Amino acid sequence: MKNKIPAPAILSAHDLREGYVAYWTGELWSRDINQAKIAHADDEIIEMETVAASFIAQNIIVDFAIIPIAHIAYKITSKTLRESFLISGPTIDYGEPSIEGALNVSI
Amino acid sequence: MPIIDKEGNFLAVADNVETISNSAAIADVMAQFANAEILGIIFPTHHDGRGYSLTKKLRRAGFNGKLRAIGPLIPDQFSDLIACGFDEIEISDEQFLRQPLVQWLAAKEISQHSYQNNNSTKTSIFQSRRQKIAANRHLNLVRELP
Amino acid sequence: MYRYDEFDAAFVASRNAQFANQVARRLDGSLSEDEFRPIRLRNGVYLQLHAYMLRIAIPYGTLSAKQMRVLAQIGAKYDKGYGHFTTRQNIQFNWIKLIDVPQILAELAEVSMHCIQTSGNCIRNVTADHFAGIAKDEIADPRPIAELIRQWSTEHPEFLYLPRKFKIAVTGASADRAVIRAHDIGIQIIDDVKRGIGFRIYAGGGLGRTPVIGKIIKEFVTHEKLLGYLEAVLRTYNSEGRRDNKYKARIKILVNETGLEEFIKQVEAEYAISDTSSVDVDADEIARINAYFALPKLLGRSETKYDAALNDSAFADFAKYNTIPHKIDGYVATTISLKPIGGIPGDATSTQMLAIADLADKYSSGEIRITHHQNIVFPHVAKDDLPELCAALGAMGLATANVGLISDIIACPGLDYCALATARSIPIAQEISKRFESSQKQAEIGNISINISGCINACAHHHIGNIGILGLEKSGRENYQITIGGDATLDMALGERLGPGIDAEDVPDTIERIINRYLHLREEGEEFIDTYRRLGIEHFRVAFANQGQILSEDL
Repeated sequence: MKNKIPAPAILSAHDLREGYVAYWTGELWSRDINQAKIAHADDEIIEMETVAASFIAQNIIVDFAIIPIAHIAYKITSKTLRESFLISGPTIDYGEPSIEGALNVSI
Repeated sequence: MPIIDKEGNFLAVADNVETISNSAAIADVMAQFANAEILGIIFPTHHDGRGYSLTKKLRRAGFNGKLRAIGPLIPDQFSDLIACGFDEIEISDEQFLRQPLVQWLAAKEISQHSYQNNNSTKTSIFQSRRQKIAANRHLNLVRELP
Repeated sequence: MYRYDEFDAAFVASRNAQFANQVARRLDGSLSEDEFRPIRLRNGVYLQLHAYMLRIAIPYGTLSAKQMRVLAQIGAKYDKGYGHFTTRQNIQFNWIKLIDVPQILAELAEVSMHCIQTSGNCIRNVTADHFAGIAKDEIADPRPIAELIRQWSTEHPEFLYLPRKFKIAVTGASADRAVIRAHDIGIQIIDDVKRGIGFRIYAGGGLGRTPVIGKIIKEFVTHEKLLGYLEAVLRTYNSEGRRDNKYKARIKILVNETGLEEFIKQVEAEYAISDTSSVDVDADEIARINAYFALPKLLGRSETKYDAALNDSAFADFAKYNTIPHKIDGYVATTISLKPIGGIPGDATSTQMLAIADLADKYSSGEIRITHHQNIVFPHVAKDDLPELCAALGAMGLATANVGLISDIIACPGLDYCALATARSIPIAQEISKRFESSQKQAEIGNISINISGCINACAHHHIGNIGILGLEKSGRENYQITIGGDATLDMALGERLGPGIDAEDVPDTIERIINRYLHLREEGEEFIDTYRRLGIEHFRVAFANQGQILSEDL
């Protein structure tokens, strides 16, 4: 059994085909964390785990996680370090992608 | 439980197979089962690879009976198991439902090339190169004849 | 350079067809994630923190300009316009879709590249000295034997499900630039008075949670018998290695728990009864592979333009830090630093990769190397071309003259990307690099290595950095442990911890104080590691312990 995660929490997973992080909105999977459904009680978290298991069985998502959150001023933030980076994405500023010429490579 | 042999035949017969753990010592196994008709090696998970080396050692020690890999193995491991010396694979009904015979045959078919020499009938890449070099040499000799 | 023959090409093609089929069977549910995971890992596909990552093999760090162009294209078409060169001479892309991987593998196969065994509990991509074939201190080029090992270990049916990953490195020079003693197996080419050229084998090295320095398990093996001997080591490990705890599953733990002598006895016993005839390599095959690694034809060149350019101090710095002498007079191996001040160690954009490919064609006989320091090498540059090359690199932001200096930092992707990480590495590297921006200051400090890992797995080899930084999580915050005194050469040493972990914000200050302490204590001609060895760690603790206190050298 996983350690029990305290509410409030959200459900995240990776899309199996593409691999990107997605959040459960209560109806579907969205890449926008602000659409994430927030579980406010233990039984809602258990329900989320059931949802995750069912989407895993259908080969739609992979590697789900229940993330304990703080929900302050309508902004969702993770209470754990690793998941806060999962939500934020890389913290490094890359600037504009540099691909000039690289799409027309002839080998 | 479903059994698939290395020729790709499906065998559903119940038989009396002797089974050993994949960590068994080779001397003990040979002392006890050297003349067994069929010896089953248990794979506790599909990614526990001890059974591959155990089979190599058993064949080296002269075990001539059939070797059966038993456990949650997947079609993608079929040719590797055969290459190490197994004759057949036994999986669960659940798995056979999800991964029917056609997938096992396709997986075996798709991995036709191998760098290593092994117990299967495939010619290794190293051997193929040697043959090619030898053939070219022969051809050159023939060409050089007056 | 090695080129696939019809057999290699057919192998990779069928392997790619196989993976496309496996992806399809994963999507339709025939394969569960547990069943698929080892398969995708063995094809270089990880599921990281934000997305799938694809790691492409650059065997022994050698690639052609043509291959580099395809990497640039993959970055542009399937990723965000950049790639990351790793500490094992590979490249990885961070935003790859699983459904695109079969097509990417097909594009790679067109230029003899693949992702086979760049991850998973199998024999990984073989690494070698990045100056192979050109260094003056070389006994023999390690790449032919590394290529032979690559072929033998590729899809070796017996060794695809080892207890844990298995890394092999080869060096052919007297100075070890391949960190062989931090590998599961390290191979050193030696020239024995009586027996001629052969291999000395180290085993049981590895960093991670339990860092161990590899020990000699065989003094001499011949070329013909090497693969058979390796097979005996691998069979012993596959049978006896621990599988009950992934942190105790590497061969280093087996060697330690069994005892070195007993382990050697077991391997020898296995080897004695092995029929190695199927993997013994005959002279024809050795000659065939050797031929691929012959030096390109390098014409004699004058050095007048080179000598004249040395009057320019920026060029003189580039020539001093980023080149080493070549076996052939008039040539140098030139390192392109992927560590611009404040940059991301090991990253290159697709545009930069294209420019590198074009410049390699023009100035390096089309040949490129990747170093485990996450830099790029042009192995064959005429000294007289160096001023032009340096200017062209400068225009692409690729002429930072800092190889071996304090801003040439090795760092793993850390918690910005990695699913295993416990803290970030890249931003720490960026801050330290900015702190020591001044090239004068860097020159004064001299040769020093800083290695930053974002977790205990030690991908950035922090244990063997002169200064090692390990990022951990402590009470929900990133926390960094500092070690000093690590050494990555054949005299390998593990760094010692200076004290308790510190916050991210304090890392640059602390590093600066350690450096100031060294500059204060050092004697004429000493590098950082020499001063540490002469005085020991206690002299450096003061820089660490008294965080608030001003030391005389800080003034």
